[in-house]
Amino acid sequence: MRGPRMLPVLFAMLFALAACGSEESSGEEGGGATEPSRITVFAAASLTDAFGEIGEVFSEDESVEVEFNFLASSDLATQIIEGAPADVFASADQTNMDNVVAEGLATDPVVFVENRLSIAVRQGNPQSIATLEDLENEDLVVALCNEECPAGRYSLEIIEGAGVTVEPDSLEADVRGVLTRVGLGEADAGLVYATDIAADPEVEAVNIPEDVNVIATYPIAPIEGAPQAASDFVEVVLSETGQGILIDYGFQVP
Amino acid sequence: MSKALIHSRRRSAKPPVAIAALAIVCVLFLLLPLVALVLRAPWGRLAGELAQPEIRSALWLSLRVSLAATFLSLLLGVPLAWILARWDFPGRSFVRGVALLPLVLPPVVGGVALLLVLGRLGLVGGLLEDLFGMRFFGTTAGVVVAETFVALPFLVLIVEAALRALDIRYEDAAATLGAGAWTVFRRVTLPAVLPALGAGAVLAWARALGEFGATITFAGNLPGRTQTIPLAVYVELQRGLDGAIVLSLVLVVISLTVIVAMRDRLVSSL
Repeated sequence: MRGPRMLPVLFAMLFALAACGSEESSGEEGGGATEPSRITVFAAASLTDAFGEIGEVFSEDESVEVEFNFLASSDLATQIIEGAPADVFASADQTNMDNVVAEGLATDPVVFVENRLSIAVRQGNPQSIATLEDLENEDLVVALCNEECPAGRYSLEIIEGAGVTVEPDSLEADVRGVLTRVGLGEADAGLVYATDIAADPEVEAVNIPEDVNVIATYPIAPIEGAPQAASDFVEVVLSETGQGILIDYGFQVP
Repeated sequence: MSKALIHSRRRSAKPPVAIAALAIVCVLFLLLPLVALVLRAPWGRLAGELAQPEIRSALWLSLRVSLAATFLSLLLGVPLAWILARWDFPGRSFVRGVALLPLVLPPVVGGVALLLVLGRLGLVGGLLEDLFGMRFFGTTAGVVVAETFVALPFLVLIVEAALRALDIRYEDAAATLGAGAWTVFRRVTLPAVLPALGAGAVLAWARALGEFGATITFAGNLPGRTQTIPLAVYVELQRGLDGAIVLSLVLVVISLTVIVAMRDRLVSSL
């Protein structure tokens, strides 16, 4: 079982190296007892845009700088468990947060947003796709995430739950890949997070009915031993301002 | 005799320590990754891993597609090599540059560029789909196109070099004796450069077999249809190292076989 963990560890090392290289002077380790001027937030890749904006708001109000590490939640969880210097963890699924909590590295995570999947089609919906059943048409080119990423697993759950037969033409390594295929017109449709569609002007969303859709819940928690600023950041995410920004990016509030 | 002399003199020269040390570092740098791969391989489960349907289908697909790409490279590359070697036309160096471009271009960039031409919204891709129902994304044909794109330069490069080195008087003599241009090409030129043709084909095939960036960008990734061995290695890495190592070993064995089988041929043609 050593194998699967090697890659994330390598990434963690690279990340640590990059962090030392570029910000030698302002690391929180050097701060000692004084309140640090910087916190590090590990957040799921799908939060990139929304958290970037929340980070700006937070920095202005609290005069604490926020540094982000956006990656797949599973990679982030592994990095945190392997000792990467995180102050806050925001996961795109419950499983990876549970893993971090089980290691005693976080307590009482709070679900701060929900996300669901939609069918992404090219702007203008040239193939007039309206339902999941439409994806059964074999002339359509369909791209999905592969089963390694959460979105890929959710896609399969939705397809099975809806009782349709969708034969994908390509299995991409992440949601961005699916989105690019649809935006370029190579794929006629793909299943991605609603938030990803909201962020991409090339594509538009065809909604999947609530009864067959899968709801991805995003929990957030400060990491054990993090400075007070980490809890402050979580509070801002849960505040009206933070939630408003997340809604702007297509997330749903629980 | 003088050749032998030079040879023995060369061999007796002792390298300075600094040069020898750096050369050793260089060898280790190239060799250790392969050693690590062999050491870390799940030898006990090798057969089981290789028998997995996804891995088997990746191997089979890779073989078929790389051979198709080699055939296409021969079909398209030999005529171009001949023209570059024999015909002095304006813009020849430009054409040669174009033919060698994929050698220096990152394969992913090649894949993006192919999308912009042959993609469904590309320059001619839409037309191809409307007229002939041809589509490259998510199809094996797309993989063949991507692999041919990156493999072609090797063939053109080697065959052109061989054609240039060929004494043109043989062709002239054949022409004087009444052979037409086509007959000269077929009966005199081609047989004379056959070894280079073989070397070029093998190199092109090896390059096609290892192709990753252009393939996944242009043709996507689907087991059985577009997922060749390198793509399968990439996907397996998301799951764990074992499957990726097994597939990597297969590629290493193939590469070593090519190098050993072609060692004299390759060095002299390049």
